[in-house]
Amino acid sequence: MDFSKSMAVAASGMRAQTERMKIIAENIANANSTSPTKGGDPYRRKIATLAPTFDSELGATLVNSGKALPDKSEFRTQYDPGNPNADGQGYVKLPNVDSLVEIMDMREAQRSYEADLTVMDSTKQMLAKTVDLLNK
Amino acid sequence: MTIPAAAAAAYRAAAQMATPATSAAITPANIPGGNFSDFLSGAIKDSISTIRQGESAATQQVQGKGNLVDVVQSVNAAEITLDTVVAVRDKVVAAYQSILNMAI
Repeated sequence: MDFSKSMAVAASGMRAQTERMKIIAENIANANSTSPTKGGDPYRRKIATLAPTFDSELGATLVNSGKALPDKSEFRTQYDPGNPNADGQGYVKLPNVDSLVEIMDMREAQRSYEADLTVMDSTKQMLAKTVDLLNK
Repeated sequence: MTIPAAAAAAYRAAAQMATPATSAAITPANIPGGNFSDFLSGAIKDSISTIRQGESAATQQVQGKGNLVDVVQSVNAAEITLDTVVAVRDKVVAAYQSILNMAI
């Protein structure tokens, strides 16, 4: 039935946003993770990607979470000569994570998830009201 | 007074929609899907498998294996299916009872 298709599409959106949320959580959790080796690169921010995929069995375009891509921007540096990870000039490389950007991404993921939930809820209501016609 | 061409086209389209696409008359012999009891048992078999899927998804979630979204999806489908089957059953029973209550 077409209602189960829209349910499946909304569910795929929710799964994709869950995956996106996982990557945002990784970015926020690792916002201050430095390199385990001296002078090495710290944690590099990941960017969640979403890709449309046509499900021929369902006959609908679902959304899937694609591969998380590395953010190629520069690392932050902090002058901290006492740090064991500091380079020759006394600078420590910190991850290229901006917590403000992550919070905005998180809000967006949250709102998209809520929108998918609303689609599911409306679909269920439409279906339930149609079934109710049989009870009259 | 002249009827605009667009309105005339709309009337034509509506008239075509009213006539079924397949002009073949439906007789008991050529109803697709066989008779009513076949239809009912098929629908109930389908609904049982849908409800089983919902149950197995719920069990997996309790065991910590399932994805919550999948559980919600399967349980919703099972719930709607059960509601539909119950509604159809009530209709059939009501029809049967009204036949039984007929004055002979």
